[in-house]
Amino acid sequence: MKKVIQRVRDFKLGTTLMLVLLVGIWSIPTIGLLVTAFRTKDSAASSGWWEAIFAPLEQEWSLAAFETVLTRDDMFGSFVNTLVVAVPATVLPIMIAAFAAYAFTFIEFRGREIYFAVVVALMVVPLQAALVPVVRGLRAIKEATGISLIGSFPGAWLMHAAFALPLAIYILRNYMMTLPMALIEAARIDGASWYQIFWKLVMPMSVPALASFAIFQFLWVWNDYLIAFIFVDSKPVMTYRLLRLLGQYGDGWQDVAAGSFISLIVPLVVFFALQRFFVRGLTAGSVK
Amino acid sequence: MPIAETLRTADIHVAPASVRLDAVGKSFGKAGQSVDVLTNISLEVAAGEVVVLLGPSGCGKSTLLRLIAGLETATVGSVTIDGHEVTGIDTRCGVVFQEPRLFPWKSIEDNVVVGARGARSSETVAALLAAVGLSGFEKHLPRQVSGGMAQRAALARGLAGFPGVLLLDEPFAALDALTRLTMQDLLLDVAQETGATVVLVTHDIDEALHLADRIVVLGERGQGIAEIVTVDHPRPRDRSHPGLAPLRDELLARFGIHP
Ligand SMILES: Nc1ncnc2c1ncn2[C@@H]1O[C@H](COP(=O)(O)OP(=O)(O)O)[C@@H](O)[C@H]1O
Ligand SMILES: [Mg+2]
Repeated sequence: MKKVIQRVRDFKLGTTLMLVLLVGIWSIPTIGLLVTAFRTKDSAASSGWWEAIFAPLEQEWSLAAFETVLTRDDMFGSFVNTLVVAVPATVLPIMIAAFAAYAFTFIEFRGREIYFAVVVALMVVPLQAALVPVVRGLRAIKEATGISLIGSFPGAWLMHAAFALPLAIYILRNYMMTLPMALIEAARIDGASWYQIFWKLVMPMSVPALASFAIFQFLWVWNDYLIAFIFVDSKPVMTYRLLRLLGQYGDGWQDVAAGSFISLIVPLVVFFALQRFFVRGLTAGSVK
Repeated sequence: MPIAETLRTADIHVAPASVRLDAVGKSFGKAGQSVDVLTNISLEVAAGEVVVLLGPSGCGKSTLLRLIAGLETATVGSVTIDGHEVTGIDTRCGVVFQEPRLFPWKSIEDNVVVGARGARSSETVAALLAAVGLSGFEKHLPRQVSGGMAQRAALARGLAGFPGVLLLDEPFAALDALTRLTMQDLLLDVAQETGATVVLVTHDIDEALHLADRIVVLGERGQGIAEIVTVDHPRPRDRSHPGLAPLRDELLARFGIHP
């Protein structure tokens, strides 16, 4: 009861109206997609989806679009490909960044500040600018050693990991700086090695930052087109498929909408499952 | 079963270790504007001896303990344990910090097990928990027990490793008067039974008189050791023994209180 009264007291009309408005505006395209995905080709072409919402009974609804993208366009295969790219491309940089941030935070070694400054500075290098030199480098490696990273999943993993690392290290180090040094001291006195302190203390205490960065990176990779296009064109990911669907307007909007919706499922699940980390984690460690 | 007996049955002995401070000084801050917290501290603590540090707050008592444990490095001078110089964190030392410093996600019992460094039997851990009056709270998390209980758990954790040198920083400060007396006797039992060397910081003159072989009185910050008082009374000591009264008066007078 007290809680309810508190809620009522905290209610701010202006803020609430603004939020509802923003949520509405941001949701419109998604709702449009959802409605369109369940329409037939003819009705999707003849009337707008908003008309379908207001006159749902005069419409023809169907699952045909889903059937089409799943069979003709092998959207499920692409779903798997995207997953195969995204999971390692998320785990890999987080693992490396956690080790690096740990060293930058707790272990004293020569040149620590300089190395860290270099890592942070690397954040400003855009992926697109570095792409051509990197691909040339990988070609040279292939010619020299026969190991080809282009056209392979490991190549995509490495690219994503490499470009995620500076931000990941930066966020994780800022977070680890706020961890209680006293506990780490106590553990050291009790004979814990640096390795044990990392796994038993620092990692468990860093879960919010790790989780929020994981979500961030996962969603980024999931929606990536460029790297997937260059590195795994023989195993088309979903963004690649969707782009091709867009080129086939003749088949109707409903196919694109259904495909988009399939690709939306995982980000939605990830976000709603982990959103409490998302809000807490990204701000934690960034504000003093 | 009292703790002394448990330890005897478990046959726990530690490698006796002496502690030696040689003209140790410690300053904090950048060169030019640094503050000398400790200057010219020379002290020898024999293996198995109990030394109590007494002094006004901010005079560097905690810093001195941290130097012995290797948690800080001396600016000048050297610290040696058993003839070997202390360079990094020294696992021959066990530390009970001024705050409990328990791992918040581990149970009281698991915290003590961490202090036991994996080597000791579960009976010893259980005996220690019983000795600090925490039987029945083994599975509680630190935030579920009171401050005094957390401090006792920290004491058990510090004792559980049976280190050669036990460093305790105001370990009983958060305890009620009665529990404090029990814990003092527990510490003496463990130290005597295992032969550990003890360096303990306190504000409590009576506590110092009850525990110490020698009391080291530190002056104001940066002024070094003011006085070393030898307490030559046989153990177990009677807290109200009239023979302790002159020492108590002397110490009180040092701190500006005239009885
Ligand atoms: N890491 C540190 N950096 C700077 N100053 C410190 C540090 N640790 C302790 N000091 C200073 O050293 C002095 C003594 O501290 P401390 O040893 O904790 O005193 P005590 O335990 O006797 O109360 C205090 O003035 C404190 O501010
Ligand atoms: Mg102190």
